[in-house]
Amino acid sequence: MTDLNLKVPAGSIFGFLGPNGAGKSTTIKTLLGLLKTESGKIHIFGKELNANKMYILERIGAMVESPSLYDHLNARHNLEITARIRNINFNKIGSLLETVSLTRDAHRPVKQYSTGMKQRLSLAIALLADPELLILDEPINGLDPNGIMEMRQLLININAAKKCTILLSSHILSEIEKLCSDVAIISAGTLVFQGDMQTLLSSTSGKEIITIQVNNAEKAIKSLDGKFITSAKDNNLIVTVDNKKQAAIIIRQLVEDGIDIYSTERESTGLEASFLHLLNGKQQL
Amino acid sequence: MKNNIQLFNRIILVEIAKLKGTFAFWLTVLYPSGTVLLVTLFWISMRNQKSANTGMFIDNLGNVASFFLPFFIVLMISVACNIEHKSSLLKHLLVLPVPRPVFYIGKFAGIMVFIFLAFLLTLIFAYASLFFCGLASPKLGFGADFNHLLLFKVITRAYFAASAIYTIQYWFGMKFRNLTLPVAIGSALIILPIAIMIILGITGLITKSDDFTKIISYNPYSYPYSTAFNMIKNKEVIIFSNLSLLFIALSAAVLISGAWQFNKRNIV
Repeated sequence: MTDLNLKVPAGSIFGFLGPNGAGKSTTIKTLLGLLKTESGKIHIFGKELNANKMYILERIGAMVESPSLYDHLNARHNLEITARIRNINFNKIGSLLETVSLTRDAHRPVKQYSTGMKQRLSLAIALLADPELLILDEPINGLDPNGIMEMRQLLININAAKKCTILLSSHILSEIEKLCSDVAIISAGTLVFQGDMQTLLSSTSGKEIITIQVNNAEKAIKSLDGKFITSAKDNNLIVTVDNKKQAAIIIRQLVEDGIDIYSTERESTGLEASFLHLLNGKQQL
Repeated sequence: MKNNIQLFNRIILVEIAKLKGTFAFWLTVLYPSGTVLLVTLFWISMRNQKSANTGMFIDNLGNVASFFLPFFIVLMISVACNIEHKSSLLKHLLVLPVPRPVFYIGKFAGIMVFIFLAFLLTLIFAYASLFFCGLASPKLGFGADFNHLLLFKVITRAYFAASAIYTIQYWFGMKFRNLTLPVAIGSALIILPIAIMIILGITGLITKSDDFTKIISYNPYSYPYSTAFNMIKNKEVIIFSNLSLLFIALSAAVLISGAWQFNKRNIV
C-alpha cells in the first residue's frame, strides 16, 4: 500500500473496491492491527493506531473475510463470548439476535447454520459494542441472491437506525452501487478514486465501454493513435467511447489498418463501467 | 493495569466457556478416569494378594499417571488451540480491544484451569477407586493406613514435572494452524527419548540404570515419567527437585517469549 488515505464520511456506507489482489483485505487487516506495517503509520479517528490501539478498537466492530464463529456453540453463546470480552451486558443479545433475524435459531449450534445465517451472526457480533465504525470485509461473499438482498437491507437498516458508519469491501459491484453512498477504488495498493457514488457514476455517464477482440492488440492501439482510453489484455482491446458513432469510427479505422476483428462486446454501464474505466485508464499499455 | 487484570480474568472465563463440551474437555475427564481405571483393573485382578497396601496402589497410580500425562497435555493443549485456528477465529478475537499478550496468557491460564481440573479428578477418582477396591476385596487392605499426603504428593509431583510441556506445547499449538503438526511434534518429543533409551540399551551402549534415566530426565516432555523411574529407585517423593524448578523457570520463559512473539505476529 502506498500513501493510502481513506476519507470515510461519518454516517455513510462506504464501498471499498478493487480487483482481486488490489490490497482490499490487506488494507482492512492493517487498519485493524492484524497486519503490522513495515513502515509508515496508520491514523483512525485522528489517532495513531499503534499508540491508541485499544481506544480505536473499542470504537470499531469488524468482520474480516469469512465468518469467524465457534461452530460447536450456538448463536447466543457466540455472542456471549464477545460480550464478555467487551464487558457488555448479556441483556443486549436478545435484541441483536432479533435485528439479524436469528432469534428462532439462537439455540441451534452454529455448525448447522447456512452461510447467510453465519454472516448475519458475525454481523451481530460486530454490532455488539454499538461501534462508531463498522468494518466489513466481503460481507456478501458466498451468499445466494436471497442472502445478498437480506444482508443489503440489514446494512441499510443498521446504518439508518444506529447512525453507524459502515466501511465495506466487496467485488460485487452491483451491490456496492445499490448500497453505498461513498466509494474508494484501489488498484495494486494505490488509491485510484475516492468520492461519492454520484461523482464516480457521472465520470462515465453517457460513455460506454466496448471490448473488441482483435488479432494484434499492439498494432490496434497504434492504429487508434491514443485517441481513446484503451487497454489490452490477451488481444482484447478495451475502449471507452462517447456514443455509438464513435464506436463505428474505431471499428472502421481498425479494419482500414488491416486489423482483423473477431468480436465486439458492449460492457455494462453504471458502476461497473466506471470501475473498468478507472482501472483500464491506470493499466494502459 | 487494573483494566488488563479484568480483561485477563474475562479471557479465562471465555476460554472455560468455549472449551466446555469440546474434545479438549472430554480429554480432561478421560485422562484421569482412564489412568485410575487401569490401576483399578490391575488391583482387582490382584484381589487375592495379601501383602498389598495403599502405598503400592499410590505408587502404581503415580507411575501410570506420570507416563500418560505428557500425551494428555500434548493432545489437550493442541486441541484447545486448534479451536481458534480451524475457524480463523484469531482474526475475530484480535480485533477486539484486548492487548495481545493479555489474550495469549489469559487463554493459557484458561487451558490450565482444565489441567487443574484433571489433577483434581485424578485425586477424586483415586479415592473412589481405593474405596471400590476395598469393598471388592477387603484382603487388599486398602481400607487401613491410608496415606493421604503420599497420594497428594505423587499426583502433584507429576503435574509439576510437566510444567515446561504446558507452555512449549501451547506455543506450538498457537503457532501452527493445523492440529496434526503440534500433536506430531509433541508426541515425537515424548517418544523419542524412550526410543533412544531402548536402542542404547539393546546395543549395550548403556547398561547402568542411572544412565537410562538421565536420557529421559533432561527432556521436558519425558521428565514426568523419569520422576516415576526415580521414585521406583529411591522410594522418595520430591515435588520440587532441581530439575523440576529448572523446568518451571523454562516454562515461564517460554510463556513470556511466546506472548512477546504473538504480539509481533501478523494474523493472515
